[in-house]
Amino acid sequence: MNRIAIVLLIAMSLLFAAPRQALAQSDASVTRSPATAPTLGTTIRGTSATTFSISTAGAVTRTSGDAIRLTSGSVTTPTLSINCGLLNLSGLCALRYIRVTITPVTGSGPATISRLRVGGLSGATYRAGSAPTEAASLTFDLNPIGLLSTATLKLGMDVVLSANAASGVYSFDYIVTVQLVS
Amino acid sequence: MTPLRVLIISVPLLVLALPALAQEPARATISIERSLSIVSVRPIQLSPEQRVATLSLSADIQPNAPAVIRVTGDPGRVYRIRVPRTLTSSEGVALVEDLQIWSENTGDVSVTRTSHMDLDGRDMLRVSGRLRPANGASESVAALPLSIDYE
Repeated sequence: MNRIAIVLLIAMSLLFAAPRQALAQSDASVTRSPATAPTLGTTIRGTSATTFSISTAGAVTRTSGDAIRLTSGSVTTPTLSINCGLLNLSGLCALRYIRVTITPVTGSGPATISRLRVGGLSGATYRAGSAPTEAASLTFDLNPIGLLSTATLKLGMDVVLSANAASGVYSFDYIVTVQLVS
Repeated sequence: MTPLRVLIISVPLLVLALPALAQEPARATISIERSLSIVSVRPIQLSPEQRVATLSLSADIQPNAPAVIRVTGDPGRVYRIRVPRTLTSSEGVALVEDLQIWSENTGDVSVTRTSHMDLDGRDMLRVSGRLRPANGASESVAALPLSIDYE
């Protein structure tokens, strides 16, 4: 019996000595829907830098500048879904706090994300009791999501369009990182 | 403590100690255009004696001069021109019919009504037509409603 236990212990040690990235991918996962969001649509460039503020519900408001968005309609904001697979058992995910980090990718295009905000959380609660204050990048913790839940939340942002931007279709990226913490 | 107990206790602790991490790159988009603009350089002029204005351009404003309109927008972009076939007075009486359009970049676009901007994002349009006797119209002046839009 003791030999079997020692063998099992060695096997588990080897398992956890495996590359962490490979293990990590199977523990927590985050997906967003739709694949590209938000899509602001056709916009006439301005002579000054213009900020479009996108609420978590998708309403778009120009808060500064003189660029003109040709439609006043709402956009579809990204929905982030967080879970850990079957029954959230992987990595004891169901019992652990989840740290979410959302960071804009600084690129060379004329459109950049200057501010991020989250809202519409379901399937979980904020560890701090309320949604984080909007900021250039966000880091916040969710309480353990339990066995059956998938945490979902909506992401809004402020987008700055530079003055006299060249015509074309531009993308501006952001990265969502989910980490299980003790 | 037996090794089996050690194993049972250590496995959850090991799992908790792992910095489980998942990343998802995401993307948003915006499409930027240069605004279209229309500037009337000179109006169309038609006289009862010369009812058809040629599309040619001269320095002076002749009695049969075409309207000259400068448009600007995105370099190289194709755009569509929207003008009515007939110009009417405020009373609804037809004043000018068979409107003809000539583009500096594309040539005669009277039928296609589609042209394109040059590399600097400019084009020049000349609009002409055939004057119709203004029976019932109090004044023989009409505005030319012209609009353009990217294709």
